[in-house]
Amino acid sequence: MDPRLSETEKALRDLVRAEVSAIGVAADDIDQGVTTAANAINGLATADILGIYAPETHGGCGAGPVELALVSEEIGAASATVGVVAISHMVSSFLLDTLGSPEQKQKWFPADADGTTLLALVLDCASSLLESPRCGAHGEKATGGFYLDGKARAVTGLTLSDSLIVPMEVGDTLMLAIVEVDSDGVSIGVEARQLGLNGAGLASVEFNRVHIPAGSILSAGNVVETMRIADDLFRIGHAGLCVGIGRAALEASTAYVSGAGGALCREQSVQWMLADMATETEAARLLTWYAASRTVSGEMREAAPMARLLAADGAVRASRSAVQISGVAGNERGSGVERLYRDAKAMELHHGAVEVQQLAVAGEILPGLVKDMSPWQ
Amino acid sequence: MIGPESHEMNWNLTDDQQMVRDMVREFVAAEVAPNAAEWDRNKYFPSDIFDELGKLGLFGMVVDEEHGGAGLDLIGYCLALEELARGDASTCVAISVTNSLFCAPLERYGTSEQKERFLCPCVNGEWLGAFCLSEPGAGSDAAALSTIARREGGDFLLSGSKAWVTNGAVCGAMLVFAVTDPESSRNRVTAFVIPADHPGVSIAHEEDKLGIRSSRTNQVALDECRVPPEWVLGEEGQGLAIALNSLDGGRAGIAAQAVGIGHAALVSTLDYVREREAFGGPIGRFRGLQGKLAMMAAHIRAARLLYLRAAWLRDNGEPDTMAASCAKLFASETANWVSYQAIQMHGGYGYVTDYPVERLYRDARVTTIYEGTSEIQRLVIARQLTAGLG
Repeated sequence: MDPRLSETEKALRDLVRAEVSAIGVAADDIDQGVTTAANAINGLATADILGIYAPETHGGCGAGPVELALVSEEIGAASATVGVVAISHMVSSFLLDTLGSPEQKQKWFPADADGTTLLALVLDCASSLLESPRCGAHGEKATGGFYLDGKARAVTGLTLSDSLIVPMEVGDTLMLAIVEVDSDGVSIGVEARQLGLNGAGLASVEFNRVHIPAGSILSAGNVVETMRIADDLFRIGHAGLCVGIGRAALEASTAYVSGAGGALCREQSVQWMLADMATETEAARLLTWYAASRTVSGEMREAAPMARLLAADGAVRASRSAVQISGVAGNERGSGVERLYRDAKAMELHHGAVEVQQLAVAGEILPGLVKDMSPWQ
Repeated sequence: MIGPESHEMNWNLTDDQQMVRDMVREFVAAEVAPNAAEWDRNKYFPSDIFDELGKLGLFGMVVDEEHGGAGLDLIGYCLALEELARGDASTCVAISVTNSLFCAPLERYGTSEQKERFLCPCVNGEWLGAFCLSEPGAGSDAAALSTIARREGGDFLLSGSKAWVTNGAVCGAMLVFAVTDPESSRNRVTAFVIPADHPGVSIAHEEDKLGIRSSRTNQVALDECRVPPEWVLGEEGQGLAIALNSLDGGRAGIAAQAVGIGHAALVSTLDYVREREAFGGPIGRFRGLQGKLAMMAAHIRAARLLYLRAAWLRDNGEPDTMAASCAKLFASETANWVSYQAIQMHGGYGYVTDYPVERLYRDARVTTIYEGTSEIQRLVIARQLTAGLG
């Protein structure tokens, strides 16, 4: 056993940590709508972070889930809003890499992975308490391709993205279509103000007889199996974001208590909160790393939703303590820690609420008694 | 640009680690688990089973092969403890104290004569060890000990009372901490290793406990107990450092014990919700219970990773104080929460002795108390976090 990061992984983590410091500075502005997440996303793209899932020939590094977990924690510590957009892009990249033809990769992976094409996976999170995010779109055969119809009420990253990957049912077959956002028949709603994860481009989308050329269908592999892996990658990535929120809450708190002569450092109620934050964040981090190291093989499939569950829970508790430790200052809009608290709460709902993750775990530990929650059958 | 190589973080066990885990698992399933309820009911200390465990080398797991031990790393040792605790937490704690709080300090600080006399019998499975630090009036505040070791001639005369001594009545020798320099704050305490049948040592009282009832927990009285200087462990005045270092090393083990208890509670509950029918089918089909079971499983898995990581750090000579405290805190609180939920899901059947969960619930309770309460773990962690601040 060696539960350490390799030198390569450490280098990746440090690079991302350095790159996201500017995002951390802008995070409150993004949250309050003073600026959009687009700059931050472009920054990640320019630093080759957004493209880690792209194949090496397209400027990526052929990363795996462990790298995804590391990158997510760093981005999450800076801005969970930017994080959820980045993860939707990274998982979309994974789908393109796994299921795309060489021509499709050539087209949608920019040559230098500079992220000019931001991808979003169209999964509707509106029924998140009852079911895994899915897409109700369907396709119908047409000359030279398909017509796409359907709508989704709440999709992350929509208002920021250039291209969408849309799971669509064609008869009994699941297909993935790549759709440009400016195609005829695509209408995207406006982002509403949220409790947390503000500025993540969450909006509705409607497809009305959108023509999909055959060349825009990703089909070079097993779509159902790949979508199941994509679900686990979302879980790993979102767990990583939550670990990042927990870490940011802890760091903000230790910085806060070191002020004013350190009187708060010696206050036992504060010490206990700090200890619990550190412990629960570390527990979630290890579970996320563990799940990431197992995900690709399909072994221990319950580990990814377990990590997602524990990390979201830990992030809410840690950020709540961080607000408490900062006292009245923590309650002020723009204090940083209040955003962490709102974002953490939103992460309990975002992209498959904790209830859905619990059922995914239960399905593994109680085989035969739990309905398979995966929309990918 | 980051290079292409992608490293799979390695959580796999070595062959040795798997071997000891499987060996203990097999023994526990055959000899320990089936009898744990009866031992608990009768407060029966199963000497014959301990003879077997001793022969398997479990009393000296952490001792180097050089001294005849199994030479297991801390990871392998913790895995063995988890397996023991899955079957019976009482058996587990007797083994844990012997290894982490007796063998480990003796191996680290003992002279070769001390090892020959006191360590070899553990390694050979002949006796268990005990650790006498706490007193009726000094628990978490270990510096407040009042047991006195006063010089007389070349010897020490020890007097005082030690509390909560696991294995007190069933050990071959004990580590005793006593005050040798009342004036000093740092070098106040000295560690002594003393045979259990030594004149002046007596078992004053046996505790009647909530949980781990088939283990022995005693008060030990020291009455003008004459101890030669050859039995001083380490340096005179080094006692507190030896005690704290031993407790540090034991924390990952107690975390592993807690994980074993939690795991057993989860497994029992997973079986129960499949068997038990209500409202026309097994209760395991209810989503509320499924969600709770998922949280239990996630916490247990995370707790296991925490103790594995803490053990790995110590095995590799890296700082482990914070990791060990995090593991102990999280795992022990998890064992309590999980066993509480386990009883709830068993309903009335969980409250009676028909199922193991009521025993597991009682056994879990002590894990947040001994070898450093949860409150002490939090202080240790907070001190690490704020070191140098303020």
